Amino acid sequence: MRDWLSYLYEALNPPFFIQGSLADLDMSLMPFRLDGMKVVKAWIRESFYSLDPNDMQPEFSTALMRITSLSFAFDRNDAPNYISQARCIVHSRPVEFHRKEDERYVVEDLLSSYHAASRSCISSGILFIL
Amino acid sequence: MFQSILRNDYRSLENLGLAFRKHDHQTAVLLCLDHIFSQEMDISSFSVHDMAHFLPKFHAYARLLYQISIFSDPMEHQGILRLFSIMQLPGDEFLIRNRTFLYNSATEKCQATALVSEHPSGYKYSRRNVTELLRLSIRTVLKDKVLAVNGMCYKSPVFSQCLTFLVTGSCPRERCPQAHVPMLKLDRMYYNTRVAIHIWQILILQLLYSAHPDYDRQDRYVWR
Repeated sequence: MRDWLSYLYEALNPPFFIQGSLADLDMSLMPFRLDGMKVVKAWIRESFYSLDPNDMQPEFSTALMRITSLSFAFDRNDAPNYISQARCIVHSRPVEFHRKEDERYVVEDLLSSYHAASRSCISSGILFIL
Repeated sequence: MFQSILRNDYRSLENLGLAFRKHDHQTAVLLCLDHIFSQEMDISSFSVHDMAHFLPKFHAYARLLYQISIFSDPMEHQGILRLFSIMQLPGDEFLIRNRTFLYNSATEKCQATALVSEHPSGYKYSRRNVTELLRLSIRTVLKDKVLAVNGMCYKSPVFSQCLTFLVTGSCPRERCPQAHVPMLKLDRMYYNTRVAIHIWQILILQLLYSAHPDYDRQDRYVWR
């Protein structure tokens, strides 16, 4: 069985701009509109909790980026709350994900850039990419 | 309805199903949809729009199956007794007639037959056991059908687009497993329809997971 959340991410963010982008998303065309989203939100939330940086080293940051993008696309209000309880924030912060220069945990930079709530979010995003 | 079933007239069954749905006649809807989704299907050649038409119907069917499987006391529901041809006997016992869906299902699940007594025209069950049999059988149907459709979606090209074709207008691969969509077709509607079919598929799988809480769901977090 292929992983439908991963494919949903790809459908939402196609590689070529002509295929459309998140800005084209129209919730009124989705199944049962907001009611259908409850299931999708629950799936996203569950996969956030199950995301373990120690389990899946090479793919972890890609998975984290994709799932964070989905959370903020569909569940912007609740996303910051449950993300702050995720395993990769609370329990396991592998050394590999700390930047050498300032010992900052890059996962936090990624999340704050998606959250886009503070003044530093853009620089967080740039720092993450660098 | 029965004439359409005998004639395998799926188009009129579909219209009937819609009409019954408007009148909230759920057991009749289930009967129509069950015949539609029991035929040999090949959805692998479906376009995005065909898929956007097919998946909501299949979701309605799967949801009805799920709803029956969680009914608190289905033997109190006249529609269900009629649909499965269950007859109430004196002493709070129920007769499952020969050659009905539940009879066949009970015969297949050998362990269930230990709980029943024979009757000249079928099996005799207590209320508790017949409810259990109904739930188990419906859940099995739900699982088989959902997994079959999921397998077909897995092979269907519409869930991924061929980038080579999109950029260059042609694709050198023989039997390319991805959809070849002309650039002109790609509008906002197309984008949203594609996202919607993914969400339908998630909603359909969720029905399977709800009916089978012990089903291994690990696969949905594996990010490849």
